Amino acid sequence: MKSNSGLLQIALGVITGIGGFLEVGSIATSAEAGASFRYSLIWTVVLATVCLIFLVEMSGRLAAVSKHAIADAVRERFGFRFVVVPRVAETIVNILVLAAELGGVSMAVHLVTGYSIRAVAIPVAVAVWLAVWVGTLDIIEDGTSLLGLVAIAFAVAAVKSHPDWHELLRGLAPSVPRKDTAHYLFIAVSIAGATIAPYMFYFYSSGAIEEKWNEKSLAGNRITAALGMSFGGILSVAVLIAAAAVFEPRGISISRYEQVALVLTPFFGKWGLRFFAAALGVCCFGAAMEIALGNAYMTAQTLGWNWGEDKTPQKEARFSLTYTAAIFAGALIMVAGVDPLKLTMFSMALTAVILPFVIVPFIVLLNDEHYVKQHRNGPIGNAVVIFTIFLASIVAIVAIPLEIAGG
Amino acid sequence: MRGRCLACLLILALAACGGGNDDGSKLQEAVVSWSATLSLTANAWLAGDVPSRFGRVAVSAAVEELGSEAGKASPSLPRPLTESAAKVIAIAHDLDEAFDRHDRAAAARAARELDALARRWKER
Repeated sequence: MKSNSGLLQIALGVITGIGGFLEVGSIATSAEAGASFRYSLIWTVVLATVCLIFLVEMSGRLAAVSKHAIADAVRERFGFRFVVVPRVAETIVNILVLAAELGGVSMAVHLVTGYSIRAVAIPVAVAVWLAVWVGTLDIIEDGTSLLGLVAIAFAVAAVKSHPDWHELLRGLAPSVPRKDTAHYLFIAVSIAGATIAPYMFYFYSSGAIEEKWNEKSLAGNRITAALGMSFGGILSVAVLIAAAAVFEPRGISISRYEQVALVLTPFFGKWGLRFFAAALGVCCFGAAMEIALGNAYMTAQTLGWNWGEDKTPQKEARFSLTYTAAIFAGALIMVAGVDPLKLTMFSMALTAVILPFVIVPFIVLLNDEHYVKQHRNGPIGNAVVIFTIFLASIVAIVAIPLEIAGG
Repeated sequence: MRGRCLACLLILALAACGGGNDDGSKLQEAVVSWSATLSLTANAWLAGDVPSRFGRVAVSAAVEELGSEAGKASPSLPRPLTESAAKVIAIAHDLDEAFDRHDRAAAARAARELDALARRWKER
């Protein structure tokens, strides 16, 4: 790939925006937020998206300037012993999130065919594995970004729902309700975890290395991070608005995907269920591939193995084995009969807990001239990211036990 | 610094505890939520927007979730509430049969009954 091809950079941004942003976590958390609290959690999506834009831009900048992917640079800067515990925690969370994504694809098949999720989980995992095994980074990017455009149906539905724009604007201001506070906080941190997903940074920075980005790529990186993530954020808000229009007035609180599946039907008639199943299936399939690869990139870079999606599996056998094992571990969780929606919400909240351990070393690198030369972080970028991840993590530590205790 | 962090955590925890649901309100929420979900599904099926296959998937989820919520609920809950939960499950089974037989009249009747149940418990 050419190092300074603007179009290719934009493709990477869009795939991360669609396949990595609108996935099982953002669909589930936004739908639940809209159904239970109308627009009052929009601020969480916006704050997390702004934080994500900064982080994705930083991931690309680190790779383009230092020629290091994140996990590689963190290990080099802090040493292997420093990264072992965070990487083990991340791997566990990644496998849970991967299971949730495989559950999302399986649910899409279940909604259309009626086959049980447990029955389709293994064939779905095989399909994901096969796509990663035989596909190149280009195929994974282009295939998912083209098919993922079906998710625009959520934006159309949101507009067709004729939202109350004043109420929507009020939703941009942070608030905490007096009723159902624990559930509100739990959904808020799940939104943060779904949006600021660490695997995305590993995928993005490693993709940039594979595509041989350099300092000339920085402007394109900035544009695609902002555009790709904003596009994803808008779709996420659109899911929330559509869910608020369909579910909240009827008193439907979301506890199963079978309920969320009806979110587009009032707007598109018989195409509603098809659009929903297609969007859920495609976005989760893309995200499952990204998580499997992101986790393999992280593991290989931490342990100093060969890595690269564009290399043949024979040339980086341990890298291939890592994503293979992760995909099938995720599938086993679904086969065990775990509820996909509950797993999604829980894994997203858990992601929020580990954010500081993942992001703080990364921020240190982005302020280190040895790695990023004169392209160091500005104070605004540092402040937004640090504030958001610590807020999300602290609230998650409080909200998760309360949500579990509350059943 | 550590003291401030602990204070923040405590405030958040107390605020969160204030919104805790008891068994009754949870079951009531489940009755409203699943009555409305099934009614929405039945109406979408009547309009030809969703196939019978999806209708059965939704019914199965409703029976599973509502059954589990009713099973967890304390025996001291108000009888009308537990009866309503049982009634939603019974109507769900009727709806399942209506989807199977393509019986539009039965599906429309079930949707009306579910709507009434959802309204009744939502207003309380």
